[in-house]
Amino acid sequence: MESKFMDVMAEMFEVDANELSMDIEYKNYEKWDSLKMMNIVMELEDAFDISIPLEKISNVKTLKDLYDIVQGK
Amino acid sequence: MKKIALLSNVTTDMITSKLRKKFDVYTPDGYDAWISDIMNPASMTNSTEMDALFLLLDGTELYKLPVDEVWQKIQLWETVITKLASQTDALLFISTIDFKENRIKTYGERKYFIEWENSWYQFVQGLSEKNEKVYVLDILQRIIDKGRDNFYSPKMWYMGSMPYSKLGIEIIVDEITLAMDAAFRSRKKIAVLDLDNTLWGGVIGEDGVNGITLSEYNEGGRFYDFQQRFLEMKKRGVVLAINSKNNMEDVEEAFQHPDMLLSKEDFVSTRINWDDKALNIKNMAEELNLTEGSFVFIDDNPIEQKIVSGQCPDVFVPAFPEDTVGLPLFAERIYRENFQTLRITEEDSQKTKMYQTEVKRKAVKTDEMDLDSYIKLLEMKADIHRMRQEEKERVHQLCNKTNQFNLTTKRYSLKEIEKLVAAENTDVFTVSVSDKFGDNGLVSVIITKRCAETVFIDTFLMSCRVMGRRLEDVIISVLVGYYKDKGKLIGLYEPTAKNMPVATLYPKMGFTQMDDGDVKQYYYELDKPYPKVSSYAEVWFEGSCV
Repeated sequence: MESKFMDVMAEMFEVDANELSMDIEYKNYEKWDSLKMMNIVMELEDAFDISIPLEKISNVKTLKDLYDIVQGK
Repeated sequence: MKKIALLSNVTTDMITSKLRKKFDVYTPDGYDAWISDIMNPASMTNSTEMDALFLLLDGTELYKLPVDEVWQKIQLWETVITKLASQTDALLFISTIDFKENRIKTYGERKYFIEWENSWYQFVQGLSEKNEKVYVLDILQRIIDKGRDNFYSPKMWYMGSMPYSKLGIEIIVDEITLAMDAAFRSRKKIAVLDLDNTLWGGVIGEDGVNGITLSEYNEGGRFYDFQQRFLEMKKRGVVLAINSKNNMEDVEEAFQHPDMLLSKEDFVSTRINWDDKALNIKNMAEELNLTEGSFVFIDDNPIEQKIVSGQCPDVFVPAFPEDTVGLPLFAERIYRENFQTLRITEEDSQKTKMYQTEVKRKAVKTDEMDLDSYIKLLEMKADIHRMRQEEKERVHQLCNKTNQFNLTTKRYSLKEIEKLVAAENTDVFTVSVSDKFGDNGLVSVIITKRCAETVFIDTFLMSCRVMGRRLEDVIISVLVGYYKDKGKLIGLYEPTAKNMPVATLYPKMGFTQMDDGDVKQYYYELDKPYPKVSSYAEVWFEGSCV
């Protein structure tokens, strides 16, 4: 699951999956703006067949936070 | 890559990033920037480089406005768009709008969204009927097909003023792509259909006319409706043909079926035999003067599909739906991806008849007969004249879809054609041809540019349906006569992937090569009279017989 998640992220940021880590931060990673966030939510919902509530998105600070949501935590 | 502008009242970044794989996309930055972009004469939207402009207007934001303000907004949009339509050279596609309004209402209250939708549609359709560059992009129909719950995503709307779901974005990208294909990509010309289990259910040779599944309603209705879609395509210039492994007598019987919607007369060519279907298609292409690239072959049998796509790689062979209830939708998709054009022309409604005549024409040609005696037999009449206003659409169509007999392949827009006609040193000639078998209509366009001592042939193209009848000789002889006081007639050949058939046209007609670059230039000394062509056709130039 983690590798699938990272693959989706890598595609979104247009980088190699191994260039990404779970502690990448929303506010500090230049490729991760609000538009990209919309794109990410859309792709994750599609790839994992889930629906992510808006409340949880507002609390996302790192990739790890997103991954927790995908895992249903 | 074609240049397009996407103008919208919502965030479209996710749509444009997908479109950029296919087109060079411009989109103005900022909220409601589309209006100021239209009003600014120096904006990219108003640049003459644009091939098409797409106005994607979304009704989500109007939800908050009181009714009278929505009407005002619609009026403002109409004013801005009318201005854009009058000033742009590009094609303009305007979306239909799915309006949303307050749903907290009693049963007795008026529902305005239906009226807004209708009023907007009337405006766009009206504009399209008055202005040949304007077209309706019917997004609303796609929304209705998929349903609002699937098309929109309230999450995306609240995250960033982007109302669409992933599916919604895909649909919009699809609609824009289809519109661009209809406008700029060469279209298929002929749908070749299998019979058993394609136009009816069952096998006519085994089940007999009473045993096949075909009826106006119920189960047989899926085949009836499938046939009906092809009848609609035929009215829009798609020609139909049959390619079926069957006995002729059985098929004759099937055509007597009371619910057989397509009649024998709807087809331009039939191959009802036990031959290889790929071979049948190759024969048909020769008979109709068409390239294999203009064929779509529809057959339920995957083996036949494979044979044809294997031996005729340019023929489009769609996968047949596993569940035949999907046949009508399957036909609609085939139409949209392969045949759909922007408008019906006069020629389109005559297409089937023209190809049927072509088959009759070919039938008089025997193997021993040489080309010249065949041409004589046709009793051709060629009418060469300056383009008339009512021929503009057809000239535009020919400029944009003629690939084989096209020396320079210049794709002129309607506006550019108008400018060429108005230009002082330019002549735009058209050629209409008929013979004893029937009328071929307007089949050739020649655009020349006059300088002091020389005349350049800027465009010389001919519809493939009259190729191989020495018409090129007829046309050049008239031009040589008309420009006899000038020094040289200069013709160019600009090679493309498809215009090989005319690679040596000019030298064959007695032109001398000037230089040997990628683009080849040839000249003809205008004081030298052109060989007699009167045996090929009765020739008329500007109203008099020559």
